[in-house]
Amino acid sequence: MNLGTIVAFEIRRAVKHPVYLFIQLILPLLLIFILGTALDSVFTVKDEKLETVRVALVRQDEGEMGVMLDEWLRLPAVSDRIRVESAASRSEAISRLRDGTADFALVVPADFSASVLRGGSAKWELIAGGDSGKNLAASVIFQSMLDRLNDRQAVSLALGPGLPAGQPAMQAATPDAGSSAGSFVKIGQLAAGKPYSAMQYYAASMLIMFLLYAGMFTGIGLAEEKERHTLARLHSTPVRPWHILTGKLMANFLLAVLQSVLIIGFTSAVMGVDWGTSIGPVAVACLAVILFSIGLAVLVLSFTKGSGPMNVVFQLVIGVMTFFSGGFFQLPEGMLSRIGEFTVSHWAFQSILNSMLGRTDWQPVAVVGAIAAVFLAGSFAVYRKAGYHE
Amino acid sequence: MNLLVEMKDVVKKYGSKVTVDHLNLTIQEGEIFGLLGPNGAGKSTTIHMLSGLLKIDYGSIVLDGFSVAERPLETKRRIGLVPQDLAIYEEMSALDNVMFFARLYGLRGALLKERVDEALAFVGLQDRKKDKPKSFSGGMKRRLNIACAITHRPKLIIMDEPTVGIDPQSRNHILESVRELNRMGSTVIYTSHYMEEVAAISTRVGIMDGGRLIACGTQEELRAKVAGEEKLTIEAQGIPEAALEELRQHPHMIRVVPLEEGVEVYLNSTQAYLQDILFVLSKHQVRIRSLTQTEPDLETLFLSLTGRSLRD
Repeated sequence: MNLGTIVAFEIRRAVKHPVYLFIQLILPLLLIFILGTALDSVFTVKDEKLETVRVALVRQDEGEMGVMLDEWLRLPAVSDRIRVESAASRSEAISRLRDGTADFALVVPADFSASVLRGGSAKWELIAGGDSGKNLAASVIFQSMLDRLNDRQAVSLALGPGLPAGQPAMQAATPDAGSSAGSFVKIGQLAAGKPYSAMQYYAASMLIMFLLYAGMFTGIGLAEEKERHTLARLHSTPVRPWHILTGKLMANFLLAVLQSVLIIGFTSAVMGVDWGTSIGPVAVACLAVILFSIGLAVLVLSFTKGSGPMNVVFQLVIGVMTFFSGGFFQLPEGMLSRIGEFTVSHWAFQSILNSMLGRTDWQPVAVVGAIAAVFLAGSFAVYRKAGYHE
Repeated sequence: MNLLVEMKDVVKKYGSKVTVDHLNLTIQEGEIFGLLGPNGAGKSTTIHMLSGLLKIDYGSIVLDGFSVAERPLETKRRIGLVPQDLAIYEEMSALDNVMFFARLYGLRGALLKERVDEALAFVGLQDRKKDKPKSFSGGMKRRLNIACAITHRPKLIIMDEPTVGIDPQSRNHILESVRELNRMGSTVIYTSHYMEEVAAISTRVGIMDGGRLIACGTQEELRAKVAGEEKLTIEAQGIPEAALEELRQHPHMIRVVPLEEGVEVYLNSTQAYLQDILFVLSKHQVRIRSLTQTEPDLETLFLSLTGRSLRD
């Protein structure tokens, strides 16, 4: 009966606290919305359609390589990507680039074929336009042509200049000439499978981070009750000491569960966050994080005095764990993400992301549950020191 | 009268420091028992052990037939503790505070509402019951602190220095409340280091110093212990040390206590030796502003027993 009285009173105290409500309910939703919206493009992987590149071609070479170039430009895989327009001189090509009637320019010097067949040094001039995307596309395509020419030169040097140039050698170098462009560019889908969105990512990470704050509020609440002597007064009433601490912890636990439900419900209904079809791992991860944070609060309280140290310890722990678990931004593979594996946030995060992606992997859920169990057991061992008034 | 509290050979230690030293004390039902002593005398430790907040290292405390150590819930039900430090929830209304503690004592339903209203009216906060203590004066907070302890009509009300840091008006209100609670049937233990407060309300007084009960009895009984002493308070500025020393040398002088602006002298008879005192002071050119002769009081007794003032 008294346990219920304490739980109900604690919940009323918390909900009457505007700072508590703002930090635990409004702030996570705000952060999820802001980060999810602002960083959406970072998380979105989609296929881009390449536009045709208009190339101003200054062909001063009338030799064998020039013929090869013409044939190559007529290949469908190439002609789909670039449209060649002849220019009389380099200055005209540059002029076209400047007035926007061309996107890229290629200058083939007059002695190009002769130099290649002689085995000497030969150069094309590639002149970039104003669009970096088109420049990149044109460069890649012409580079593939240059690779062929290098092959041709190598054959010519090996077999002698008498060997019939052109197709046979070309074919020898690239057996599938018809789909030769395809051999250089493999077209695939970057957005294959089911990726998570920024909104999903930050909904999961912020949920975990703010559930950790539940423990901080529990600890600060208990520390303040010690400082304000209300804990001592509670111990002078006919209530069992463990009921007092359990009542306070239970109230904070219930509030954190309610917080999880509201965040998940609101982000799902209003922000369109897909939490996955199986809510089990999400629920277990949330409960484990809540129990971990409350257990940590009791442990910290037994070693420190006052609400100040509690605040510092928790802010540090939450900040570090959220960072290393990739909660603020995605971490590259390596040392940082390896460190993250030592945090409860990482495993809770993985549990929720797996659920969002429809993956069935109970390992992260088991790990986060085990960590919570250890901290909870630790808090039971020291609860007298934390919850007593002396 | 029935015996309500019985403390036998009670000891409390913090490390090697003995805070309460073999304390023996009994309190009868219906008493207002004043526990007097300077800061650090062991008063708060004693009542914390009685109310189950501190473990007893040695000895026993029995309240209304129940051992505090063995049946803590039974004894706590019979006690209403008004702690020295304000122990209220500032962010909750006065009503919420009183109701919460009343529930913890098992009050429910109509009885709960009735008792809470009664307690708030008793401390004069009925009109402000929906306000949060944040907006209260120090005296009002002290009164709320009392209200939280009396809703369950405890047999024993323990007030630990309930007037610390409040204005005289609130102080009088609290002292009157103590008398009223006693009239309504509660036994009261009232601790203070203000001799005047304890003298004003107590039916029996215990004086503690250094963790020990150095005197206990009715005020008359205690005064009788220093019946041979009279106190003369001389108000004057800048009494030289030589004058004080000469006063100390008087053959009938019991004690000389220098004050900030004057001196207190304790003699067998102040009337008989008044001329001698005035002679010494005039010899040292001390200009006297006033002279007051008083009967021996609890302060006198404390001084007589310890050689120190209660305010030291």
